Amino acid sequence: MKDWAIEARGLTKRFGTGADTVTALDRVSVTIRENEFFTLLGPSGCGKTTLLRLIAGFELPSEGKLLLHGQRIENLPPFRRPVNTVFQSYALFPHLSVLRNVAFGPEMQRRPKAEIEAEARRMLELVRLEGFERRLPRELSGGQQQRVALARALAGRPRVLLLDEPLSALDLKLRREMQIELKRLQHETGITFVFVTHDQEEALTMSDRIAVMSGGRILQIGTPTEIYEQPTSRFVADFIGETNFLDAHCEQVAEGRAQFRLSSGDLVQGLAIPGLMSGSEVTLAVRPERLDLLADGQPGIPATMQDLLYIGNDTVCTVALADGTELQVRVQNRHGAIHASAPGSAVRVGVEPQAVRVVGD
Amino acid sequence: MTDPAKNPLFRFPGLKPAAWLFFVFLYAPIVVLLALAFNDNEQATIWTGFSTRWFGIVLDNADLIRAFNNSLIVATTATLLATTIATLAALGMNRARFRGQDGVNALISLPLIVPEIVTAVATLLFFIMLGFRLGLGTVILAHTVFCIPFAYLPIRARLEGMDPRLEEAAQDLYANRRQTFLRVVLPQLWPGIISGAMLAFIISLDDFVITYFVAGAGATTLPIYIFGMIRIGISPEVNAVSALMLAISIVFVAASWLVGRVRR
Repeated sequence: MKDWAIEARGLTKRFGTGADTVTALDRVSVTIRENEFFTLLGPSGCGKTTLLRLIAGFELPSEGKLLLHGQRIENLPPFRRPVNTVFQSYALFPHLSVLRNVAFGPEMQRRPKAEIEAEARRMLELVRLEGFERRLPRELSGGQQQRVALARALAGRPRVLLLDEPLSALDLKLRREMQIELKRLQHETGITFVFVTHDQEEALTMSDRIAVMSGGRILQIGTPTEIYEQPTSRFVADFIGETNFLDAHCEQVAEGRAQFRLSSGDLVQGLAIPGLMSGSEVTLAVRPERLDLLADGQPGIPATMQDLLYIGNDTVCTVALADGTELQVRVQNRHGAIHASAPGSAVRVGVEPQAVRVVGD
Repeated sequence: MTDPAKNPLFRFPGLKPAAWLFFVFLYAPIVVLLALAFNDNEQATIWTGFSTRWFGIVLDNADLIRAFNNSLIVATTATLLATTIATLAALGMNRARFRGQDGVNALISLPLIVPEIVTAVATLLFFIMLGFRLGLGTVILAHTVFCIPFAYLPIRARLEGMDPRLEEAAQDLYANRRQTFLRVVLPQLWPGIISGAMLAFIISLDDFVITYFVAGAGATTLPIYIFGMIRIGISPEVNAVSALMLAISIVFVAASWLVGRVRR
C-alpha cells in the first residue's frame, strides 16, 4: 500500500444541477503505483481529463476519496498538492521569460534564491533548452514551448506529474520525438507520470499501464499487452486496434477451453473466461492479424474472398463466412504481395484458440 | 499591400471628395483655433503676428489655474475610483456565472448611451434629494460613476482574451490566490487597466454637461471656466487654454492606445 502514488476510491464528479446534471466521472476506483507511467485512454468526453483535473485539484469531487502517497488530498486546493501539470495548451505565462516560467514553482515554494535559479537552469538542461532562458514563450516554436511547460512542471518537484494530452498540438515527427523524450524524462526523474491521451498508439508505446475509460468509468486497467491481447469488453477491443466481433453460442466449456458455434454454423475453439456458461450467447473478439488465410481444402472455416487491400507491409483481406458475416484477415507480406485469392474465390480462415476472446458488452 | 486602385472601395464615386470634406470639416476649426492661439492681436479672429503671450496670460490667470487644479483633482480622484471599481467589476463578471449576467453587463455599459443631459439633471435632483451640498465632492462622485463604463470596457476585453488555464497553471505551481492574482493575472491585465484609466481620465477632464449641473460654487472646472470666458467675449486666451487642453488630451489618448497595444 505504501508504494501507491495515487489511490482513488469511488471518485465521482457531477457538473450542473437538477435536470442538467452531467456525471463526468462515475465511481472511479484506481491505484497508480510509484514511478509508473500510467495512461488514461479514451475518446473525448470519457472523463479522463476530469479525473486528471480532480487529481490536480482544479475540480473538487462530488463524492469519493483521493489519496496521494497515503494522504487524503481530495479537498486540498491545487497549490497545496505536490502534483504538477503539463497543460494541453501549455499555459506558459506570456509575460515571463522562459527562465522565470520554469522558476515560478520553486519561487512559490520559497526555496533559497540561489537554488531556484540553479534548479530552473537544470530543468531547462534536462529538456535540452539551454540558451533559451531569456526568450519569451511567444518567441518559441510549439515543440520548444512544450519543453518549457515540461521543465516548469518538473521544477516544482512533483510527486506525480500530470500530462493532459501534451503532444496533441505537435506534428507527427515532433510527437514521436517527444514520446521518446517523455519516456527518457520519466526514467531519469523517477517521477510518477499520469498521462491523458485519446491516441491508442501513443498509449500502447509509452505506458507501463493503461486505464481505458468510457462514459465516466474505467473499463479496464492493464499493461499495454493485456489491454491489446486480452480486452474484457467490446468497447476496449474496438477502441484499441482493429477487431472482428462475432456473435456466437457457447456450446461447451471444459478445462479452460470453450467451443463456440458461430452464427454461420461453423465451430471454433477459444479460451474460456471465468463465469462462462455453456449455452450462453456471447460476443467473440478476434484481431485480424491473429487469423490465418488458408487455401481452400485446408482445415479452417470456409469463407469467400471479398476484397483485398494492399497497405505495404500487410494486406488486409475481407472474407465472408457462410451466412455473410464479414471478417478482416490481416496477412503479412513476408514473401511479397499475396496474389493467391481473387475476390469471389473460396478460401479457409484458420483460427487458433488463443486468438479468440470472449468480451462483455 | 494591395493596390489601392484595385480595391473596390476606391471605385465608389465621390469617395475622395466626401472623405476630404469630412476631414476638413472635422479638423479645420481645430487647426484654426490652434493657429489663433499664437495670434498677437486682441481680437481672436484677426491675425496680426505671431506671439506666445496669450499662453503667458493664461498661466498668470489665478482663476483659470484654480479651475485647472479642480479639473485635475476631479479627474485624478474619479479615475482612481472608477478604475478600481471597473477592475473589480470586470474580474467578477469574468469569473462568476449567474442568471441575468448579460443584463448586468449591459447595465454597466448603459451610461455610455444615456443622453448626458438626462444623467446630469437626474444626478442633480438626486443629490438635492439626498441633501448633498454641491461642490467638488459631488462632481467627483458624478464623474466616478460615468467613468466606470469607460474604464470597464478595455479591462473586460483584456480579461476575455486571457487564457483561464494561466490561473490554473499558477495555482498548480503552488501560488495561492493572492499570489496568482499579483503574479499572473495583474501583469496580464495591466495594459487594459492603464488603457481604461487613461480613457476615464480624459473623459472626466473633458466633461462639461454633468459637471455644470452638479458643481456648486467654488467647484469650477476648466471646461466650465472656458465656457464662462466665451460668454464674456472670445479672446485669444480661450484659444490658448483650448490648445493646452487639446495637447493634454492627445498625450493621454495616445499613451492609452500605446499601452493597450503592449503584449497583445
